Amino acid sequence: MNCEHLQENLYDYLDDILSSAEKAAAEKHLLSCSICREAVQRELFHAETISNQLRQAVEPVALGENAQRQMARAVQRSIAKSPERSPFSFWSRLAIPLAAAALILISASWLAHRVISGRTSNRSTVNSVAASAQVVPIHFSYSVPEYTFQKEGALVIDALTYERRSVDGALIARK
Amino acid sequence: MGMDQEEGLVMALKNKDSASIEALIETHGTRLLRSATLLCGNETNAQDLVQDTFVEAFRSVHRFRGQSSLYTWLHSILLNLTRHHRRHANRLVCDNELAAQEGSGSEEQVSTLDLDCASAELTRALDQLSESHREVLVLRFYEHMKISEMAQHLKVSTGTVKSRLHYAIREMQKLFPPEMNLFGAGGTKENT
Repeated sequence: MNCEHLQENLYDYLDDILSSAEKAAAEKHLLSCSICREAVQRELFHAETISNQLRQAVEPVALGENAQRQMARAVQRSIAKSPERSPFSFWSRLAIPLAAAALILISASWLAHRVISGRTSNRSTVNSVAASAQVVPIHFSYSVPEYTFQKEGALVIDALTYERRSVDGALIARK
Repeated sequence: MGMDQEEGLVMALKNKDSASIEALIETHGTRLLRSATLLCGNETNAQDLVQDTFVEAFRSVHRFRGQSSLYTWLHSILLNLTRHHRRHANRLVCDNELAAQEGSGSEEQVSTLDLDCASAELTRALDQLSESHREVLVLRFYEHMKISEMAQHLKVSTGTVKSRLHYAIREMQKLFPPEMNLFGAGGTKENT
């Protein structure tokens, strides 16, 4: 093990989670390298001194018997007010907004369907009225624009009737 | 803590009766309170956070899978609550009551005062650190967690933990009075 490798694995060495072979290699390197040895000892020094200071800083802090009892009563009151959350609490919290959104969507679709079908029914009413009236034959003609087709047999859509037609000799007006 | 006691406390967590709540608070209350004091910098707020931790634990008992110790699980709840609290609260000051509670006697008083001074400086310095730096210092040096445990606890990679720890110590070196020689480069036991 070299210095770079040891520095990379310094915390693993300190946490004693290196494999036995790696640990042995690290210790062998530490015997011969004062820089790495110092790095390890610096970390150990930090661990010891900071740990001691933190421990001493909060040593006087404690939950006395009275405080424990008060806390227990407060905890009991709180959990009585709102009992255990079910594992589906996340979904149950989402359920109401999701249901509302779905309801709005369904209502909007239904309304849109009603509006569209209303228009269609109006049109069919006009048609039925026309059918019941006296039929007067009228003749009108329109001029078919000149088309130019590449070949016979191709399918085209008539611009006026929107019918699909196969190109035949009659349609080919001019090339 | 023995396995039996741990299992008993997990059962207590599920029972939710007053005796169970008291048993859990008696076992883990003080340790959580001390950690919370270091994390939030104030004992009064820490007490509220610990109480909320127990409430949350009893409510979310179904989430405890036994993959970590009960204390570690409780601490992860505390950590989340502390983060939430600190983000919504003003900067808190170190509780000076700690110093007032220390012993008597002239010679003993000097050493106690020195010690308190260092502790007060330490907590003051901790309070000036960023949340992530304070967390790694407390987890590493107060909770004595391994890097991998810290990574799991903080839900970050081990590389991030190492980096945060490195910069947290560097920040403390800047913030802590050099005459106390706690973080100085000259503070190692062996100077070769």
